[in-house]
Amino acid sequence: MHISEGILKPEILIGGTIVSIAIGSYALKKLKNEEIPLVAVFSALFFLASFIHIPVGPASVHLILNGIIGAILGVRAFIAIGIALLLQGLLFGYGGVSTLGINTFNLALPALIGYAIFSLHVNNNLIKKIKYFFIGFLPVTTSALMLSITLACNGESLIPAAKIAFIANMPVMFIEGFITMFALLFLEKVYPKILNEIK
Amino acid sequence: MKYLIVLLLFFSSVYAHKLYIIADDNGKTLHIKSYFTKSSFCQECKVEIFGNNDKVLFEGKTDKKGNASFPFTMKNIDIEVTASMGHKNRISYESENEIVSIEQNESYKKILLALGIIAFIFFILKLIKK
Repeated sequence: MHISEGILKPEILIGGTIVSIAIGSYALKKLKNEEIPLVAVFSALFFLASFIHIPVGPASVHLILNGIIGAILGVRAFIAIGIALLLQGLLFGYGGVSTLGINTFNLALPALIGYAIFSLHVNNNLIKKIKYFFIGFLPVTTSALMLSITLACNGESLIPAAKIAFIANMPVMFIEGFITMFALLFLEKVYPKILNEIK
Repeated sequence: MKYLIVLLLFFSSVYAHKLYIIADDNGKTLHIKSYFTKSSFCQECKVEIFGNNDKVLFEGKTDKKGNASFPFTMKNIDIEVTASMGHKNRISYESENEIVSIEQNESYKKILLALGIIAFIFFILKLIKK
């Protein structure tokens, strides 16, 4: 899901950076002191999730977890994901500093879909499970789609890579759907307070 | 009878100078011990580790207790120990351990470092927000 340095055109990089800084600044302004530990925990979770690789054919993809992060943090997911991506770029070469803006945009903006779905009020247990599944499924699908669009916007030469990137992430969409569903059901049972921590 | 005694002396002499090699690894380091008898270690003996196509991977010498250690980088290797007076032995060694590369160790350190930085950044943010 990380776009490496030296691939994208400067206008895409600058556009992504401006939007991410704008939303990140808004999130920082909105961030309350008591919410900071929770954002830090989810930043660490996002950072670590990238090291959990799932083999897909000859290659492998990794977990993203932007849905559950968005569901709990809302717009503050931009801070958590942005910082984790910065460290992944600096220490491991996943993505990079110049692509930090566009990568944050592609991963953190879909996290807000998770937040929107989470805000929907549902009473039925089965529908609630489906809702939790989509909190994981839809943000990853949107991120993969945005990644593919970003690559395709760069020029025709990257269109095959854009298609492969989307197809390669398809298993992750379902895996994250189920992981998020079980994680939210578990949190709801053992620590329901966390689900209403950030408004 | 004379012949038998001569023969026994000859074989005991050969046995006394047989060079033994024991090798073990923990996935990171290959440990080698070389000796003639339980109390006679192969001291300052040349040790060579061979990989594929007899390519020398590492070279070194044993210490006073006949021990030598090398980085463990291949699962199938040959170990050759050469002592003075031309005593030499070569064994094939196959490990069941997975290779723990230095890069992997570095990754764990970097992950811990990153988690520390995340904690530090948010700690600073908490101070600012206070």
